[in-house]
Amino acid sequence: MAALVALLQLDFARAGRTSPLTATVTAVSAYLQLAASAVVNGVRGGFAAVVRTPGLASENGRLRGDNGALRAQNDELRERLARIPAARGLAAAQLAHPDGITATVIGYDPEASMRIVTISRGAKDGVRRDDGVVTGAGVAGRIVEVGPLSSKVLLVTDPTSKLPAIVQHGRWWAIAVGTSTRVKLQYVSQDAKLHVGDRVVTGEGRSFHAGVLIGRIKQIEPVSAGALDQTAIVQPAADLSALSDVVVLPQKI
Amino acid sequence: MSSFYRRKYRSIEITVGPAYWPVLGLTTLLAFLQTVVVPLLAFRGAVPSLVTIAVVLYASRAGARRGALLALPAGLLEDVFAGTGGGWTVSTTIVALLVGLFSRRMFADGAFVPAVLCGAAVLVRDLMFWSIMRIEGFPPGFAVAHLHASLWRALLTALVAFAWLILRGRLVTDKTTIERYGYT
Repeated sequence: MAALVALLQLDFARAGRTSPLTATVTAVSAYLQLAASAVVNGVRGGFAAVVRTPGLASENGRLRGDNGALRAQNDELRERLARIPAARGLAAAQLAHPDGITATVIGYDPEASMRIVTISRGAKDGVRRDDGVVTGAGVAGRIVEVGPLSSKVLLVTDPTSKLPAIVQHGRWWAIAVGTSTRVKLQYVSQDAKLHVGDRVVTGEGRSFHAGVLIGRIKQIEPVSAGALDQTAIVQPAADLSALSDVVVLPQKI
Repeated sequence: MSSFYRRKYRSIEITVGPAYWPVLGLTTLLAFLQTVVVPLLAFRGAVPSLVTIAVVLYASRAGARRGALLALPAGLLEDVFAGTGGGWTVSTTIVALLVGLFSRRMFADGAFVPAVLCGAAVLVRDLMFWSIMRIEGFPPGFAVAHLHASLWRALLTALVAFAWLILRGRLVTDKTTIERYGYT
């Protein structure tokens, strides 16, 4: 039988063809080889993993550490990116007012009933009552209370805030009064030709020199019959809802 | 004898409600949050009043006198932070007294009624605050000018109080007076 098989194999080999027996055995063995190699590779991988486990744990710890550090760095960079406009504004305010005292907003009115914020500079830093407070964009308010280490700023939008103001185009005098959200320009001469978008700046007063930007006219209220003056609503130039850094302007002597 | 008894034990309210000092500490913390964090989350120019919630919930359980004892320092802190001259101190104390008296006529359990009480307290407190500010020299009409913001504040405060009471109800089981003092 063996001789017969051998002769058949030899015959196919000489003819240059694959014998059916060879094809069958090869096909079956291929599946077996695949299965066996999978098992062997799995075992070998598992063994390697077992051998490398202590190293993996430490490597994992190191990668976690790196990940944490990178996340922290990312957060810090995001915060720096977010602060760029404020920092730029503060730098502009410092440039415009070299004698100014920089301060950070550290507190707000707890009940949001009045437009008052607390800043991180007080009498110890040279802040005095009625000093003007500005941001890079324009007027923020004035100091109404001074403590040793902190002060309270009455924002220009507070209804009790009143500042002398000038409509820059035309030099019309007015009083800027807060309305909780914006500023109302009162007692503007009836002859004044106001336009939406006109710049409104401070007039010479106790807290500010003339010419510090308060904001731009947003709306002109219709003049009632017989009125001697007119009023306009001004959008403050400084974003008072997101104050973070301000400059206190020491009072003129 | 009866007068002696009345002088020493003016009310049974001292035997119920949460302990004073931890609540005072918590209220102080809330007042700090109220001045540093909460204004940053303003919605339509209004913020929930955490201090009012603390004072109203305490006064509704501990009574008028102890409520006022909490409201006084809480309102004082708010006046210090806001730079106002006593308006919050007086209005918060009066609100605590009113809530304490009112709570004798209702059950402070549950979440809905105390939350509504917190919202109503904000309105009463704001009205009193602006009345006091008027007496102190502020121009008239501020209470009306702030009515819109006050209504939002009342709503936000009631919502926060409701959420807190629901959460607290799920997490904390109050001991009865007998359990607390061990009268078994």
